[in-house]
Formats: sequence, structure tokens, C-alpha cells
Amino acid sequence: MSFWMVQLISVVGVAAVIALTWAVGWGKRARIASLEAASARFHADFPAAEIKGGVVGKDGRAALLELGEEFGLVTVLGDELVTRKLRANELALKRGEDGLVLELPDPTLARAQLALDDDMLAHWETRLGPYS
Amino acid sequence: MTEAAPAFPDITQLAVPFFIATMLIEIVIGRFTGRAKYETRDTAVSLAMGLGSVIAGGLLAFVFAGVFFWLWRYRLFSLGFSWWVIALCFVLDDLRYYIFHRISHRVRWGWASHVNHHTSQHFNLSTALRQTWSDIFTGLFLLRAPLVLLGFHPAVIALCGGINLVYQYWIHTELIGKLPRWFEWVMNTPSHHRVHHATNPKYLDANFAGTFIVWDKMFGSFVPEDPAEPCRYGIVKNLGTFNVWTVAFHEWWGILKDIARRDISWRDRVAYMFSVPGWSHDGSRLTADMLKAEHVRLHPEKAGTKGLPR
Repeated sequence: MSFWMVQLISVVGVAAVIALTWAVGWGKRARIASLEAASARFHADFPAAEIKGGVVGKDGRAALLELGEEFGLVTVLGDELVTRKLRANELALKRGEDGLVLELPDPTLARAQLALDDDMLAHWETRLGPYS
Repeated sequence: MTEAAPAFPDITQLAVPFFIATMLIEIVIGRFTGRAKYETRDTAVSLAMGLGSVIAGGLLAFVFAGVFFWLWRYRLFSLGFSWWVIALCFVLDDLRYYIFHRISHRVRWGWASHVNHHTSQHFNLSTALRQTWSDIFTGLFLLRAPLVLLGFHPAVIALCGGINLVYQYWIHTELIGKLPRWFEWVMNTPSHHRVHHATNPKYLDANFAGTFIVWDKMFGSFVPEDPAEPCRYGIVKNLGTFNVWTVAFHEWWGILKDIARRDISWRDRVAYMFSVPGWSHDGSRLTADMLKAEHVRLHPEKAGTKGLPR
């Protein structure tokens, strides 16, 4: 098999694999259904964490968990969730169109957005603020 | 004069159609049975990492070739190209792979290169192709030097490495459960390798084998898959991005940031590069051993079970 034939098969094949995953419905994002779901996922990564409350963004793409001095972040990545344990002074807080934007000093999870109702927005502004 | 190396086939190149066909089959079977799962962007990242690895390997092949053909001049024997030489080389190279792989998990310098193979929270055939772009920087390719000095021709070593790589492809799947007991005892299998990719504390730093699982059994790193504890895949601190550059280089960046700190000693800087992943000068991060100890603290009934300390 010639070098160029292998390259052609690679490119067409890779495109076919990616297209098929999308075609069968595996391109959909996960959605955090509830605070319990966010807490369960956080506990899987931080089993000793004491979760005292929290909020799930209205669009289900992120959740903030109250841990005491620290707080927990759960965000959607594709069809999976990613967690971080953070301190308020570790991040830059910004006001987004529909809630909060958290900028983290972490290139592997640099930004999280939380769509929040006004009362929740006020609570977490106080908890995480001030805005940068 | 020694005999010229025969023109061995490029095994990984020949395997490309097999890789593509089996991924397509796994997706279709997974969709209908629910026993395998892909995610579109995750798959794209894995395949991009695979293509990038081929490109990086091709661009830097002259380094490997230069080093190994220079060493070849100082070999003890000329073992030739017979089938038993290739078979012996394969076994010894698989032991070399075990050592390389164990170092890649237990030394942050190696982990910085190898971590990207573990960054997917999925475990499917595409995960096998999520390969490093930066292994040459670790210097760990020099672990093959003893084979060259012993008299295995670099072409034989490359052939064995290619066969080993292709063998490891098919074990990245959830579709295959347990295989016959004799096979599971000797060979690396999907069951053993699921454990290796899992982040459950008891499964951390286990099953480093390439082809033969016996190395893990000999050196005490074997942990069997436990049906009561389903594997959770990925890394302890999963990535929150599909950016391939971040996937490829995030741990190198982390090392750079750590050693650039002004409030640590030179000893700490060396430890940030060469200690176990998760080591920190102030104990603010967790190593695999610390995660296992923490798990046992929370579940004392599991102390001393396979993969966990007493």
C-alpha cells in the first residue's frame, strides 16, 4: 500500500469516524440535571468534601457547590462533567449576559459560565466577589 | 561486515485501515448495545492527537535513528534477523515498555508527555490513538539503548515496537469483557487495560504492561478489574477543554509554572520535575499514593485489598 493511499485512508477514515459519532447522536452536550447530580459527580472526585448547598446554572452547563471556605465547580465538557475545588481568591469574577463568568488560573479549565436567577446571582456575587 | 537489515513492513501504517474499520464497527455496536460510548469532540481530539503524533514522530525520527545507529557501532553481538531474534527482542522490548510506562506514571517528567493518552473520560478504540507529541523530550527512548548494545538491530527494535503498539490498540475497548482465563493470565487484555485507565483510587498506577501482563504480576503492580467497582476513566484532575494544544502540553506548562516560582528552593524545583505526579512543596496537591491512603481512611474495610495500602 503506497504512502499516499495510507494518507488518503487516514483522512477519509478519520472524517468518517467523527461524522458517525455525530450522526448517531453522540455530539450532544451533557446537562447537569440537578444539584444532587452535580454533588454526586463532585463527590466522585472529592469524596471527603462536605457539600453544604449550591446552585445549578439555568442552562445546566455548570454548578457551584458551597463547601465552607472553598467551593466546588462542576462544568460540562461534551457529554461528561469536570470538577474543580477552588478558593474565591483564586479566580477573576465577571458579570456575564445571563449570570456569572468565572475565570480560573488554570489553562485546562480557564473559564466557566453560570446562568443564574437574580437572587442566586446576588448570593454568589457576595460569596465570590468582588468583580475584577 | 554485518548482513543488511531486511525491509520490514511499517506495521502501524499497515494497520491504519484496520483502526478505521474497527472504530466504525465499535461505534455501531456501541450505539445499539450501549456497551461502548464515544463523544464527537473527544473523538476528534483523540484522532488529532494520533495524527499529530505520527507527524511529530516522522519529523523527529532522525534523532532516534541517529542515536540508535551510533550506539549500534558499539554493540556486543550481531544477533541478526532470524525469527527467534525477533521473538526475543519482542519480549525484551515489552519489558522495556513496562519500565518506560511505569516511569511515565511515577515521574512527572515522563507523565508530562504520557498524560495526554489518559485525558479522555471515555475508553474506546479512539482513545488508543490519543498519543503523545512530546515523548522525545523525556529522553525515555534511551531505555531501548541496552537492546541495541546487546546486538538487536534498530530495524528489529522498530518492528517490535510497531507490533507492540498495534497490539495495544485493540485493548482500548469496553465492548470486550473478560477473555479465557489463560489469556487473561499471560496477556494484556481490555479488562486489564480498563483498570490502567481508571481513576478509582484502587486502580491508580496499576497494570503498566504493553503486551504481556506478566510483568505487572512479577513486579507487584497488577490489579484485576473488580465488577463491584466500575472504572471511571480520565485523570485525577480532568481537563475542561478540547483544545489539542492544551491536551498535548498542559503538564509541561504546569512544570514550567511550578519551577518558575520564586518562593521555593532548587531542591523543590527538581522535585517538581522528577518526583511523582501530584507532588507539591507544601502538600497542597495529592499524589496517587495519597489518594489511595485517603480512600482507605474513608473506607477502612478496604485496607490491604488489591491496589490499596494497609
